[in-house]
Amino acid sequence: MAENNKFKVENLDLFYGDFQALKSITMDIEANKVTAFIGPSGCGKSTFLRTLNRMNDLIDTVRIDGTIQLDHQDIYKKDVDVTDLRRRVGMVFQKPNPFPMSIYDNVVYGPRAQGIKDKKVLDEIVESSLRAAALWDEVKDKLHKSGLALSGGQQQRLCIARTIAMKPEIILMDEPTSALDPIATLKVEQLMEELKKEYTIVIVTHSMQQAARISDVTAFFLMGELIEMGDTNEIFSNPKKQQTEDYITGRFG
Amino acid sequence: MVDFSNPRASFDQDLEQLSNMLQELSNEAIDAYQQIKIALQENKKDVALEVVRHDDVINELTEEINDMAILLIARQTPVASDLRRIIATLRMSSHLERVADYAVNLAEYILLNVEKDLETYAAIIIDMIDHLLKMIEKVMESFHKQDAKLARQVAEMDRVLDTMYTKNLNDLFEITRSETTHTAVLATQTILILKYMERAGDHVTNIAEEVAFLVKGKTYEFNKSSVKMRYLNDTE
Ligand SMILES: Nc1ncnc2c1ncn2[C@@H]1O[C@H](COP(=O)(O)OP(=O)(O)OP(=O)(O)O)[C@@H](O)[C@H]1O
Ligand SMILES: [Mg+2]
Repeated sequence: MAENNKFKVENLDLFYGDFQALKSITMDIEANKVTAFIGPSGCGKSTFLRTLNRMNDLIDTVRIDGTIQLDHQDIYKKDVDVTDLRRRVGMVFQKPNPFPMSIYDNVVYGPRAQGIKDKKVLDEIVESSLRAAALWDEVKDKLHKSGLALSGGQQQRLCIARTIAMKPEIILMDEPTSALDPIATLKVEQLMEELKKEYTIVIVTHSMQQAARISDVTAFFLMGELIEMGDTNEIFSNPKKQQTEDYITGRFG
Repeated sequence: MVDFSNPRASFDQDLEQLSNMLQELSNEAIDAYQQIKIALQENKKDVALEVVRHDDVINELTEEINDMAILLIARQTPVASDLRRIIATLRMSSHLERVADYAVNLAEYILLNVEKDLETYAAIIIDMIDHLLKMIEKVMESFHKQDAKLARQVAEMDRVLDTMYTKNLNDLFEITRSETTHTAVLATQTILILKYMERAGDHVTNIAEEVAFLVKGKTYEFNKSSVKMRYLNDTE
């Protein structure tokens, strides 16, 4: 495995009962890069994303074959501490899901669970995480109001802040900007640009422009298969596979 | 009923129109050279003048292609082969415009010289025009067929045009030195004209390179000049 690979996925199959949602996926995900997953609805992007921090474990019909290594360690081995895995591999979901508690408590939920109690430290985490998520200015005067009282786009950024507060190594984002206005979208994109210096980012997006703008590597999925993966510059200027070309140019009927 | 079989149908129509505009531009360029041939063969100054006047139409058409390309980029955010097609068309149109500009230079040459003088060099100029026209037709064919091999043939045809130029150059150069002032001036003007034809061929070759770029997604340089070849080593 190359030195800068975070994940190494080999021959991954995933079944929901009888239905095979992922077919022999093999890919490397590089550290300190933004990797974008694109593909039509239902092709398996979210399913695949969830295999990277074992979120699929929560669905009891799911069966998995193949291997996923994170820093050379098989994450599906019996002795793996899944809670620790999910701390290292943070996730922002397609739909914002703030906890029914204050904005402040949402952000420090993870750090507190890790045993941080010092108020000053927690305050700092709250401010830096909310700033990083481009939400600070909008909420700094109502940190103790409910997270549920925010708009959809603000809730999404709160969830991003909550994820950042955990100081994960990898951040998985499932269409994180689908509910955001263009400015907030650009802020989140800027944030990813910044975050990738320290973290590894994997993002699912339906916006070709977003994938083209922010990602270093793009992976195109179709009906559970990985069709093509490569340098984003290549994929958007001269993709190798006709299916990729058809999809990104919108000729996919 | 909406037909969902091609979600980009209207964009495809726009791309088609853009290609048609480029074809129209090449037709205009070809037409200009055909008029030049008539003016040269039959000493028709009014036909030459018409070529000069008509240049505005060609420039306008080039501008229209520019505008349309910019609009399509802004509104359709094209990627991959769509983007290459628009960028290539944009660059091809500016090469075609230059090719047409040289026809205007030829028209001026015809307007400036009397019949007897024009007759002296008409044959060699027309030979080069005929060859140039074949190149333009072939390059447009390669564009419509998206055929990179055909495009490469245009580059080979350009070498023939280069040879036609250098072959005549030596003779004309002799004349500029040895004969009367009038004859020398005419020979010098003719050298320029032949040089323009040779340059026009280079632009057509550039168009062929655009076709190859469009098809293959890589940048090509078909004809390196022999001087460049001699002084640059093969690291490129
Ligand atoms: N919990 C589940 N049980 C059974 N089938 C599922 C489940 N979740 C997803 N699927 C199926 O697996 C396939 C992939 O779904 P997935 O959610 O990964 O697609 P996606 O690429 O993320 O789509 P979208 O872009 O619409 O979010 C779909 O056919 C879907 O119906
Ligand atoms: Mg999804």
